[in-house]
Amino acid sequence: MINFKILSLATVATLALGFAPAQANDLMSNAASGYVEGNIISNDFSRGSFLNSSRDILIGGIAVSDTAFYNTASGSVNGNVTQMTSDALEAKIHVGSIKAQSAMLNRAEGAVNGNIAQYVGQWGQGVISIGAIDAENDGQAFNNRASGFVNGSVYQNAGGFGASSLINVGSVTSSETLR
Amino acid sequence: MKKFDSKIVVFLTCFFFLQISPVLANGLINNNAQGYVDGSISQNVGAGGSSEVNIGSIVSKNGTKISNVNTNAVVVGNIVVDGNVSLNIASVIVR
Repeated sequence: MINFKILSLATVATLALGFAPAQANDLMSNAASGYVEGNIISNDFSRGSFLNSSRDILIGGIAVSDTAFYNTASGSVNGNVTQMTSDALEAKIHVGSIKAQSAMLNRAEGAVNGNIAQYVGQWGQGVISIGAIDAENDGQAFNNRASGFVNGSVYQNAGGFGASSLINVGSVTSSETLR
Repeated sequence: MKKFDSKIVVFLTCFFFLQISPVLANGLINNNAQGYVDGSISQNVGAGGSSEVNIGSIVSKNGTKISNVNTNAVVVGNIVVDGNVSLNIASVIVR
């Protein structure tokens, strides 16, 4: 006969395993640290396809489409960061930011000792996040900490027709998608 | 002794659910975001596009729950926006 204690322990164990973020696209319990002494220049003049055509620069960033759990990322750049993309591409710069559909217990720190400039082509999308947390697709963000520092100016140009752009500084959002 | 063990198990079960419950529902809970820009922010968007600038803001879309979210953002410089831009500074927005 199964007593109450065994049944309860089995229930707790099953639930714990069930809630544990262990899917293929998850980030769990990682630590990353990086430093760049110089400029970062990213140019992509290929034509985008509107789908999965994102060009990302992450400096102390945590980004995953599914779950980010208990990660630590720290990055700094002693120079300028410049990103240029052509039509229909997504351009993203994350400095000390967290982006996931389900983000729990993450820490992100990023610093740029210089200027940030981003140029997006027509029908493209540009995102600059500095110390920001985004639970994309109206997801969930629980007990995260993001810190971003830019010792310079931030410039974003989405001057082409139909382009959109977003700048988040020290902000928490439930979806990075524009209005 | 056996009865005492059962109480512990019941307590742990309840504790587990209390701990995990905030994570089950979609929402922005217990987060801390800090941003600092020691310079200007300029944003330019062309015709037919839209843009958004959030400085120390909390933005919830589609009714996502917001609870105990702290933001702190500093921009030492000008903020210049050109075009169809939504500029939110230290704002809490639910869409």
